[in-house]
Amino acid sequence: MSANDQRHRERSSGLALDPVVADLYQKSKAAEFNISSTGFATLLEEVSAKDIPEASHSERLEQYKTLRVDDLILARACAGGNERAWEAFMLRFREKLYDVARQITREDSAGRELADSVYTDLYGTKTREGERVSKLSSYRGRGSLEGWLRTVLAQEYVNTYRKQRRLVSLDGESEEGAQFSAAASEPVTVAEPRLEAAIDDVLRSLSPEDRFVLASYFLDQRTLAQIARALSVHESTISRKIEKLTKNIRKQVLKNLLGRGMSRRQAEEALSVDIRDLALDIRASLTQDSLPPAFSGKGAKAGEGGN
Amino acid sequence: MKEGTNPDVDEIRKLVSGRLKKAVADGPHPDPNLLAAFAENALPDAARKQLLQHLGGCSDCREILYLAMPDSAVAQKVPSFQPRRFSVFTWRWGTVAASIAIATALFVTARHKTTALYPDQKAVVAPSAPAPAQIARNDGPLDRDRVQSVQNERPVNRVPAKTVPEPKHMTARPKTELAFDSSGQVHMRPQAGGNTVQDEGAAAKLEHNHPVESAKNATEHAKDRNLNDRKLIDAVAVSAGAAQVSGEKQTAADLNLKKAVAMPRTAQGYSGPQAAAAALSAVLPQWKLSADGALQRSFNSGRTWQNVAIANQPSFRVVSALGPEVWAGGNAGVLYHSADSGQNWTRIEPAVSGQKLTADITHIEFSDALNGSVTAANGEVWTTADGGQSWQRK
Repeated sequence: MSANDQRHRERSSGLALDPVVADLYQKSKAAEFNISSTGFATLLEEVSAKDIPEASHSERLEQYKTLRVDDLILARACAGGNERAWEAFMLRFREKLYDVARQITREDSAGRELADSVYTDLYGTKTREGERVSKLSSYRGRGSLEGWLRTVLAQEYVNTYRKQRRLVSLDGESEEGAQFSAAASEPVTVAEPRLEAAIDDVLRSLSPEDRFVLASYFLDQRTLAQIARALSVHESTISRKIEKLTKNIRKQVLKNLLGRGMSRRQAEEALSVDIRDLALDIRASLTQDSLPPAFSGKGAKAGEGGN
Repeated sequence: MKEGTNPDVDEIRKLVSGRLKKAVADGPHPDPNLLAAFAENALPDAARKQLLQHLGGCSDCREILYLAMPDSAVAQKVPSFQPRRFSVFTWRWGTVAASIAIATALFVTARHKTTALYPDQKAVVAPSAPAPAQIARNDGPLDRDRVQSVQNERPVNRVPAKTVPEPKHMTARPKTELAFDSSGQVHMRPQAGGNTVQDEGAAAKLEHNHPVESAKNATEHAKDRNLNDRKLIDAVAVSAGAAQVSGEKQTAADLNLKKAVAMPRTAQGYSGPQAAAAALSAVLPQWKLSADGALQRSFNSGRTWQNVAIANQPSFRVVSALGPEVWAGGNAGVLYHSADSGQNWTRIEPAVSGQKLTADITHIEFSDALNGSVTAANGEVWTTADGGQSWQRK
């Protein structure tokens, strides 16, 4: 069947491809994996409905252009059990996944185990309505397939690590004969309520990016380079931002304390005294074990895990 | 800003860390699609802001984000900083040092060669300069007499080397033209009015009148060839003598000229005219084929290349050179041979029992001037033991 015949048939059946979709279809090389143009268009609509459910047709077309359609098609073809797609996938990602897993776990055997576990999920061992469900079917092409696989590996590692950490900690306690030890008491903190409220106010007034930078730098102990890479900016930008933020936060907290009826001297004392108490609290908090629900993407609340 | 050394930063760290820890993340955890797109800076602003809002309060999502990033901070710093400084420093001073070393080596080598070959040239060149005599010793009695006579005819009045301008005819490559005759043979013809000196011009003229014979008329030209051999030897000897007079600054071309005359005739079985012709080319050129199959040669170690025009402009696929002997083969059995470093060319048509070589020639290999083989694309191997006059097919 010629291209003209196909176009005519699609027009007559009301499935005429938008030129944008037709162009993306060519770029995606979907035909190599036996995915028809109408199947491709349906896939794009499905992806778009999840990402931007209330978008207009033109907005969806714009979103289509940002998708990694070639990766998307490869992932969906693999999920559909296309052997040729699996060959291409293995050729591109097999060694890479093991490398990434080793990089994440920093250990060869653990890395291999992690990669194998993810491969199992990617291939799909669970079935739904008689069909095998591959994790690759959840890839939506917003970033590269490689980046998505990295994230899946990291997510699996964090989940596994959390589980193992809980199990190991019990075993460890047993081996150390500490299973009958008294529960650790909550650290005694004598934080000034007005100071905590002032700090919360100031933190709330910051932009999401500033809070992310502060949390990464102060809580997670990430380096300037890591934060800069996550935000796609230069390291010096993060350095300047943190310097500016620290000056601004102190100034704003003092101002807030003054606004809450403290004198300047009281505010300065509250800051200097409570810093030590807060530090104790931080140490206790950092060692606290917390497990958020798995990243199902179906509205799991972050706070439920004790975050 | 140095990490962890600023007291203000440490103070704020202690102030805000506890409150940040107690912060509650907004909304559901992002799925890997969002995190991957965020890491690749592929999210629209609204989605990016929403995700950052969550990441600011969710340490687990931040951990996943950082774990999934391709490279560690250490890995990024190393290639972006230290190697660059090292390479700039190294290249800058390394280049200067290498230039000095090369210049020194060239100077010392040139001086050494000059003094080794002409130990008595610093003051005045002695009448019994060895070069022509050495050439003569390698020749037959007739050639030796010729060379000796040329040596005896050289001017006795010598001048210090540094005061005599360097003779250009020995350092510059004579400009030549390639002429074709009706038989398809190619000959070199010196340009009229060029810088070629009389001796060399005469030799070239002789060479012009002395094309390489084809297999059929080889015997007919044997006598003329012997005569021309002697004339060429004379010409070379005169040229060599002139070079001897020229002073201590002998160029590489001068030296190679002598070597080309003295070396090949005995070691590789070349006869007088072949060696002489090679000598006239000053140095043995390097050969290569251009992308479109044109034959090219270089007299300056590959710095510049000149096309060698051959009748009908065949497209060659392979070239092989052994001393002044050059073989070039191409499509449809095209095979050309030059015995004088490409000054004269002869079309060779290998044939056995009336069957010619018609396949594309892919490989040529000669162990000496006479014995060699030509491999064709169809797997045939044609061998010759007489420099291409007769062939055998395997």
